[in-house]
Amino acid sequence: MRIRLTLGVVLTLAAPLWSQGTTALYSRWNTLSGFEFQRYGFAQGLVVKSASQWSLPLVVVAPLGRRMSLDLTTHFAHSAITDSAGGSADFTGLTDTQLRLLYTVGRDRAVASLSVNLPTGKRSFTTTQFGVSSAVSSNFLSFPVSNLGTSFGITGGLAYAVPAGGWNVGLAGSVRYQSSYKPLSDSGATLSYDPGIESRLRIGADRVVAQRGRLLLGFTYSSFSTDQFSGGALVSGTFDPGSRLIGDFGYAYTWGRTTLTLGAWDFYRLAGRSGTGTGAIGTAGNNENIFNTELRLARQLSPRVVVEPLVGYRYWNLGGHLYSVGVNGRFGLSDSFSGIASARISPGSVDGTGVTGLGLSLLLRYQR
Amino acid sequence: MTSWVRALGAVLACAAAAACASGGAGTASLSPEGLTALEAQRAQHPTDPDLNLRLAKAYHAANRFADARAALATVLLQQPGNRVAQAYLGFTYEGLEQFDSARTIYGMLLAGRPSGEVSRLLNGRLALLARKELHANARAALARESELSRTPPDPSTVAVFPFRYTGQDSSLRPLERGLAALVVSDLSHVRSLRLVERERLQALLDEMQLSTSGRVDPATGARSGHLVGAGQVVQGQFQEVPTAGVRLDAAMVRAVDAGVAATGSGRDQLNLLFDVEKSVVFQLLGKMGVPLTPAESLAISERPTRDLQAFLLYSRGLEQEDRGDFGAASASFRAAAQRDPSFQAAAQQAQSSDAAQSAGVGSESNLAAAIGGSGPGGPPAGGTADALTLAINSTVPSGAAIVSGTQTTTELNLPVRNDPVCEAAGCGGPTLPPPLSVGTIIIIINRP
Repeated sequence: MRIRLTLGVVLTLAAPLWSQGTTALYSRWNTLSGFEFQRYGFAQGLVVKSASQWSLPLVVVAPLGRRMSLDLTTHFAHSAITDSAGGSADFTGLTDTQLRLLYTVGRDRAVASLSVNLPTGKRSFTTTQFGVSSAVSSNFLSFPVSNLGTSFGITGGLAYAVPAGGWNVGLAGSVRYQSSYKPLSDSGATLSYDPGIESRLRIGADRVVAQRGRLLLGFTYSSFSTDQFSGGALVSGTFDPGSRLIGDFGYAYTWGRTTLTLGAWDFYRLAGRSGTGTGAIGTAGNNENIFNTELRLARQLSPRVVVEPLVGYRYWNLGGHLYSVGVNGRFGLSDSFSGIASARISPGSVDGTGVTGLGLSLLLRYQR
Repeated sequence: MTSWVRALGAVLACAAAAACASGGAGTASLSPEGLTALEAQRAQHPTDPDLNLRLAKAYHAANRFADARAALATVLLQQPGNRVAQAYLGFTYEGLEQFDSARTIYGMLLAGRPSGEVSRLLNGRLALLARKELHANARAALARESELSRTPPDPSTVAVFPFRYTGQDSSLRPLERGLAALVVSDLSHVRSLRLVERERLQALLDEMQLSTSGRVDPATGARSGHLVGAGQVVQGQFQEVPTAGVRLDAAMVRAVDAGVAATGSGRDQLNLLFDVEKSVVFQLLGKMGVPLTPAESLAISERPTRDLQAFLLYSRGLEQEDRGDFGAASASFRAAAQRDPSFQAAAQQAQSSDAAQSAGVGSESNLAAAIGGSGPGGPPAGGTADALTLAINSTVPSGAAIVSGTQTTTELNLPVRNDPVCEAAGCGGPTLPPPLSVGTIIIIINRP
């Protein structure tokens, strides 16, 4: 799944938050649902002819008193692939559900978090369905739901923010534990996979630039302890995923009813290491670098309607690039209902083979 | 495919139903039962700011302004910075005809340096407020007429009646207001005179429900002069004359005795209407013995436009604006400005009418939402809250980040860890080789 980082979260949160005396980071009830669709069609030359997914997300945020909030996130998703030989595989079902509790410590500078991953999604697939899971988990293609289901997990986190000169600096760290599970249901039914502990650190800073501009810089580092898998002597081994680094940048400039936004991130993954049950250890070929940038121009047509055309570019060091053209439309239906509709087409290539992506989404939010 | 369609249809139906259930955008009205239920809830939680704000909106929609003000006072006591409540307080003061208080509220919101769009809407609301105030003042003046009629008005203050069109071509009738606006503009260049705004006199005439013939009756002119504090009133009429010409007559009436102090008259081709009007203005000033400096004479001689069609469109806009039809007025003013881009008055009126249309009656909900959601000019400066939210959402991912994002303009989609097994198998990727042929795990588990 993707995290949508917002430079302007304060628009809906912080302004009422600070003025209303509550210190909860999410101080109002929110419900979000809608429809997301993503499809990639590949020209001849690759095994896969198409990979597609539609999903119905459900997000509920509930304030609990003046310091806490609880949020729930899940999806109902359908993912499918077809191959150039005429074969196909698909999977439809609920994904895992994340329950997250946020607690504001002290006045308003620190937030503690406890998140639980409930294994409501399917986590054991046939080897055929595993191809579907493989397709949607691509960082480069970036499907809305990139993980169909795993196991029970728990994440503890702490974030702290402090003003420093003209900057607002945020620091955060988290640790995630995930229990073992059996990822395959047919020929590998005996395989048990025990993911290692993930640790994540982030430093981010934002500031107003020249009164009407907003600049954001962020850096996130993740490290993983070694995953273990077993299922008998021949299928035992280890996998060290390798560290992950993400740098992100955003700049928004507003004049009148128009906002120009330039955003970019770079995802860099160091090579991991794989070890077999026989004790041999080698470098895993999972290192990759993905750079993504977008330029958006939002124009407020009325107090409750914003149209935002965009162009984007994504580069993958393993031989891929995508260009994107699209439009977002943000609208308010009433004081409580708002939404965002998006459409985007992304032509490009992978390993020298043409690819065309299509993304459509309609998300509706109710806030109380 | 059909399942997508069903799903999408369900979502849209849900949204539509919800919008209907909530009264749709722009209204906060409740049925009497709904209002009673809300009041009962408030009785349980008398200081709850959200409840009181909802109740205030409902009271406002029901024209129960005093009740709305009381509920808003409760909200603002706890949440002094609640801009939606502040906006509704402004609307409520308008409803109570406490215009100064409403103006203070809007001024305060403007002082917070809101975005350009919110500024535009607030200025539109202020323009509407001024219009309401003019009508309220006119009603008050009529109520105090006997008292005002005994007070001698300022002799240097001049009011200009809309001209009366006595011809047959109805397309020229909007010039009644256009010519009055032109005369007001011309006379305002004379430093020794004070002009009553055209809109102020128009509001009075609207309240007096004056017949068109009354506009040229000196007794009516004198009465109106007393009511608006003008010692002199310009009244006039125009009509087309044979050989495609136009004739314009005007008189300066003294308010104290309804006597005619000066007259002016001119006649020429219709396309020389501005020359005729200038001639009449100079005649009136000359006969009244008003001395003019060369600069004043030059300023009066200036034409706002040389395009008669543009002026006709502008005049039509004034007529529509006086009727309260700001949408049509904006279109007329804009058309006038398009015909003659140098016609500044038309461009300015187009902007103000457009803003008034957006901020007009029935748009309170939208306006309050815009004000409530506006930052202090430019992108919102979130202080540490923003950094805190970003930090926690990056390290402990949740869909709540998306919830925040639906009303914001700047989002970045960052990847998080995917299916660990897939990562271990090395199968993630768009080349999508058969999973069984790549990666450590899959190869191993497929051994017999």
